[in-house]
Amino acid sequence: MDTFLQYENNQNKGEKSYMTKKNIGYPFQYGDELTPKMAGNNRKQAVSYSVLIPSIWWYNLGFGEPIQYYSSCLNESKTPIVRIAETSRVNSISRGGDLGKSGPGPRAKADALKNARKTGGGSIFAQGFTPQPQYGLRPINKPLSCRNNVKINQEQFNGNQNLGGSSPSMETMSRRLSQEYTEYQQKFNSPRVSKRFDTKNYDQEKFKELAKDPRAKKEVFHRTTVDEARAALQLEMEGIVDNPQRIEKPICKSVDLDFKVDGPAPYTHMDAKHPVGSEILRKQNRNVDIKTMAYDIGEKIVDQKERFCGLEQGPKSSKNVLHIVDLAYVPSHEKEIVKEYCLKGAEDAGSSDGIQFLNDNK
Amino acid sequence: MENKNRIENFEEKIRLKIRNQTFTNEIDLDQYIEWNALAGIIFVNCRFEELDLLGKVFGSCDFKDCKFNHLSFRKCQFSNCKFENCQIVNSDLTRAEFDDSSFRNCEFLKSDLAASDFRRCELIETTFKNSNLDRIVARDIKCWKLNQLIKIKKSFSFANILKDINSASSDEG
Repeated sequence: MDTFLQYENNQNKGEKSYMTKKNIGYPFQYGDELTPKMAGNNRKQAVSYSVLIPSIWWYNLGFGEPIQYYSSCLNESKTPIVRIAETSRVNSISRGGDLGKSGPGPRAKADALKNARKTGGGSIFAQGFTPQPQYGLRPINKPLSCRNNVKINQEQFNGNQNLGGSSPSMETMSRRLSQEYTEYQQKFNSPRVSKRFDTKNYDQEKFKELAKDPRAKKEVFHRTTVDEARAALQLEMEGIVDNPQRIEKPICKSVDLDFKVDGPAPYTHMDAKHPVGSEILRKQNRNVDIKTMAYDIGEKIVDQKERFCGLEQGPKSSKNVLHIVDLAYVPSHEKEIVKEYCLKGAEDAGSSDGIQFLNDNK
Repeated sequence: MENKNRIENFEEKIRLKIRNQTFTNEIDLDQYIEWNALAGIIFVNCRFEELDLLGKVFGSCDFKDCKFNHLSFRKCQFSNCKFENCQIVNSDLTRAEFDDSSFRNCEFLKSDLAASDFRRCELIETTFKNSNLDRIVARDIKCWKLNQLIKIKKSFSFANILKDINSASSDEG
């Protein structure tokens, strides 16, 4: 469900356009959250005037009339929304100076007046409040006069996942952890080539642990390691493996598999593969078709199962190694081909046992 | 034949060629990375220093007279790449995958190639010195050393073959 900001132009009532988060360069990033309860408060005809601060900013920054925001799903509990009823400009100017209330305080008013004198007061709101860069750009130490009672959920501006609840989804967390992952999704997987498992009910700390590059000296989250972590945690949540963990140093230097697991028997270790679709292969100039890619992956899986057997703290036999083939980056219409040829490659190389496909739903 | 040449010329035209550049951080290289890959780029006489390229894809790239020092190519996928007169020193190539690629007159020095994977590759006059070659798997490989061709269908002991070739070449030398 994509969130959106709805813009209603007072001068052209009835005409609505939807502005996505991307094209709103609006300083809501450190705002608070407004619940439907708050938004539906009828004691005031509209919502608190403080809600209008961003609206005024919007105007003063030259983007047009004050804006109105609505959640796309008002019935959802705790769904963050910001709602502003139609209010005249006059109303928006006359606000209380109490710092405990929303609206500009004495300091902001002084700033506003000062600015108005300097600039000649280009805006009709100049006497009420003139935005200064520091208010909009600094995420901390916000001037009291800029505080408002509106809570904005960061999720609205973060990725395209909004699954309800307050904790970040796995997708959102992945994007927060790794810039590389974010860019990968934006450039490479947008629009998404297929559906991918996502949830808010997961152990965030564990996810972070799994998403770290286990070999790096400092804390690094690569796109690859984040994708591996997602696959591992998904498998655990689906009850396919128990307690996946990164292999600690220095063991991981010799037993170079992605994870160790506590079961179920016979599995003690696990490794993840992330094949891509044919369009991506072409763009990467890899000069192989999707069938060859998948067949090779199958062969490599068999080789890899045997590769670390017998090493200290390694798998005892190839049967102890589970391979995940995560099809998150394979378009729906190619998933079956990839599965078929991957299994064929593994079969031809020895055995197709111990292979688990993820995100393979059409 | 004429058609084929025309296509090759066309392909040659659209490939980006980078000469005499030194890449010392990932940002330098970022501008050439698209689709998580360096795709179809020809690097000539370039130096790559201390880059972490974990998990990147190299699709149909040519490296001529290039030097790689302290690089992490861990879990990188090299597909249809050509290395010619290259030196790879102190680099991490663990679990790197080389498919349909070739190495000619290249030298791996003090590099870690543990658990890397070579398939349908050609190694021509290429040496591995003081490098970790543990658990390399090779399929459909052709190695040339002193005009001798060695074909490998499948090998879990590719390291031993490479060591033999290296020692043979040093004996000759």
